Amino acid sequence: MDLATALAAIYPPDRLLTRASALAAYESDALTAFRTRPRAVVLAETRQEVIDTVRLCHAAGVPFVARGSGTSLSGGSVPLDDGIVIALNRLNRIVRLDPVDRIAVVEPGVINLDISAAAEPFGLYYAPDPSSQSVCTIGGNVAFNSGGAHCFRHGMTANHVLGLEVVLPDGAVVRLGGDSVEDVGPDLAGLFVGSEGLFGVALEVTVRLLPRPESYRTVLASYTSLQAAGDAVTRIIAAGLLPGAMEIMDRLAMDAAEAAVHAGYPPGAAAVLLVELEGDAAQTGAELGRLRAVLDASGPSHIHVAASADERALLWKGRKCAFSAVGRLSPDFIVQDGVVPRTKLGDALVAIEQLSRQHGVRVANVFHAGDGNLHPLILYDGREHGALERAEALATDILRLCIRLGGSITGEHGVGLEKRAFLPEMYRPEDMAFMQRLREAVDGRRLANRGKMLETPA
Amino acid sequence: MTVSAPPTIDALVDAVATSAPAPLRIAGGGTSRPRSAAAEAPGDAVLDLCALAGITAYDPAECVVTVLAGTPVRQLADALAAHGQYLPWDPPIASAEATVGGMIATGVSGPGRYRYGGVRDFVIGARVVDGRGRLIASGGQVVKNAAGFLLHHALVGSAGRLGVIAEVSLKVFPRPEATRTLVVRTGSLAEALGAHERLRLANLDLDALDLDAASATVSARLAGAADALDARADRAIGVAGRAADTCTGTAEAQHWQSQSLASWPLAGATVKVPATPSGLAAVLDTLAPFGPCRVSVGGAVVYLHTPQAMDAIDAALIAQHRVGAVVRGTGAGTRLGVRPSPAFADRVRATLDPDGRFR
Repeated sequence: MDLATALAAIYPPDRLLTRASALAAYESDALTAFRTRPRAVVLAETRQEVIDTVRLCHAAGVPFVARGSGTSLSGGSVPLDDGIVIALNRLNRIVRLDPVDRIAVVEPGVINLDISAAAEPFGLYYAPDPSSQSVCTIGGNVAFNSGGAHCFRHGMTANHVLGLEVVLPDGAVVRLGGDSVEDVGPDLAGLFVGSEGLFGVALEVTVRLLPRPESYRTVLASYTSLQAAGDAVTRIIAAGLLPGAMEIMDRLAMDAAEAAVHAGYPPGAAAVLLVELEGDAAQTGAELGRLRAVLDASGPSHIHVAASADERALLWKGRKCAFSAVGRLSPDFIVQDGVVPRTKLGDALVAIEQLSRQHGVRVANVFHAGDGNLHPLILYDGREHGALERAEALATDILRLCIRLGGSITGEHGVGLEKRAFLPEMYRPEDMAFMQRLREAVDGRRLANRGKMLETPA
Repeated sequence: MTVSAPPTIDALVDAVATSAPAPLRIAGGGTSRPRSAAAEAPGDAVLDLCALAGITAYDPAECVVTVLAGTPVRQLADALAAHGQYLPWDPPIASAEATVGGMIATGVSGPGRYRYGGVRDFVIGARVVDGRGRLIASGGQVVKNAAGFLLHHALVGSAGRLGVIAEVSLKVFPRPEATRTLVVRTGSLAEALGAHERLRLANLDLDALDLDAASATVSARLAGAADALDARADRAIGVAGRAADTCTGTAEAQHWQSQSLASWPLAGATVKVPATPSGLAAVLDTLAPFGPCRVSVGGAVVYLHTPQAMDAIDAALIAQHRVGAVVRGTGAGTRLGVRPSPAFADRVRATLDPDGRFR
């Protein structure tokens, strides 16, 4: 029995897509420069269907990729032309939400923000908050170790996943970790997170929920230079403060966000720094005084403390929508995701400005300053001859800058298709060889998300 | 039996490679596993990591430290304290000898894990030597990094079976300006569990929350700005619903030391059993017959100290569908309770230790 016949025995026709028009939506993800039409797409509704599909693919030697909402910015869910897409959006049940143990057990297609929404009545929330959190799914978050704005204090997805049920590329089903924040033995759930689909498909994810902080104090400081904003971040950490988030936006990003949501960012500033304290009300009250003193000494042109929950929400809305808002400035853009040591933020920003001038390509900067995660948005017009190539050349230079400064090529988007060529620049050949060996041991036929992370493009 | 004490990573790589195919036993400070027991079989090669010590890189402004595995935890903690920083998970320091590599391999965090997370949440990179003497790096020295497989995560709790940890990079935090601990002594375990649960569920932003079953005592620590602590402590006492002693400074440090699993003797065994708050009473019921129990991390883990053989404890944990491990003393590194699915674990292990040298 061939694969098509076998899949048709599992899925009714409306959940087994093979016609070109139906497949088009699955050709690419949020990194639209890569596009491949798969052999077929299955819309799984149960974990057994996922397991059966993986087993069939394994038996037939056909590569597969799991896909949630397709928001990957590294091309992580782009299929192969002879491959199968296992769409997991319909596996979107919150299996169990336990407000006493403060955990949620969810299927991989559950949307990130839906976990916090379900936990909200109990005063709990799910901490990792990628900008795409209103659409991206937890399965994708697990595969790419997604981050967000709160990683310095709260960690990344790996730090919030306690347990996983996964189907390995050969169809074996295993449980990793458990339902407690403590575990024994090697942290294999922590190893599975961030494996970009190469170790198989998560069928169920147990995450920890945090109590919603009693209070937030959100401060916006504006500066006449990007570097001054970056230096303020270093001062805040040096003062012993531990904000939940520290975010910086430059003029171009602010203008875009302002046009989109009227967040109230000050006109004329070269950069704004958004700092948020969180915790016990007495504690954040005491910290706010210290934070004000540090910011006052950092040479800001303006400081504003959000006076209400609504005002805080608006400041964040501007930040969260900055990526999409930049679409107003330019028909096309590349979102970069490099990381530098936080203390090198100032150097990195100056260097990016220089590179932008050299290449003659505009760059808008939005970044998670607390953890050194840069998101330069490289603006170009794909209709213009050579524009994409110039943008990509600048992106390459920025990635190499991050490696040179002792950082990483990706903070939260993953390697995917986009940065395959750069992983060997960040790690030594011996490290790459180990990753290949581990991948081969788990997936000898290289079927699970083939082509991503470890395969250097020809 | 040959013993080597490589002082550099290069020498460690060499020692692992040249001792092949002998089984390898890794010795750290001997705080979890008695050093004599590290070399039971005559054909074994012993790697004493205590010479592989020192801080490789530390930039306080970065809140990241890179340290060789044989460095005493206490030495690292002192270096951080000099810059107002600390390891937020409060590693239980049994003696001045506990090493950073041992802390990672044991995977045991202290009470401070409650607020910001444990060892697993602060390891951001590592260099490890596999069973064939290959040096492998994963992660890096930045707190946010999604590039490549996160092998450094798997080292936490690996008990030396995935390779020799040579060096790790850790995220560290600014030390809170002040701390204060409430000690709530109750008349029974049930009362103690009640106070523990009230403190846990109230939004108090506690830094640590432990319970000693034998003395029915709950310990709750607050940390943060000094001028906010009075108000916060009053509120916590109100939530606890009973009289509490408060302590600070040296008395506070001594109190936590007395509650630590490190205060139990090395003789016998210390068993770690992950738990959930709702299942806490049942875990204590299961373990209490075997020895004294302490609850840490707001009910996420129970530690048992026992002189007994592990068979009965293992069986009791299996019957309750629980996992556990001996983390200190006789049999340190032994898994108990329900065993993990081998399909993934065995492949990871075989990749790092194809010849089965790490025992």
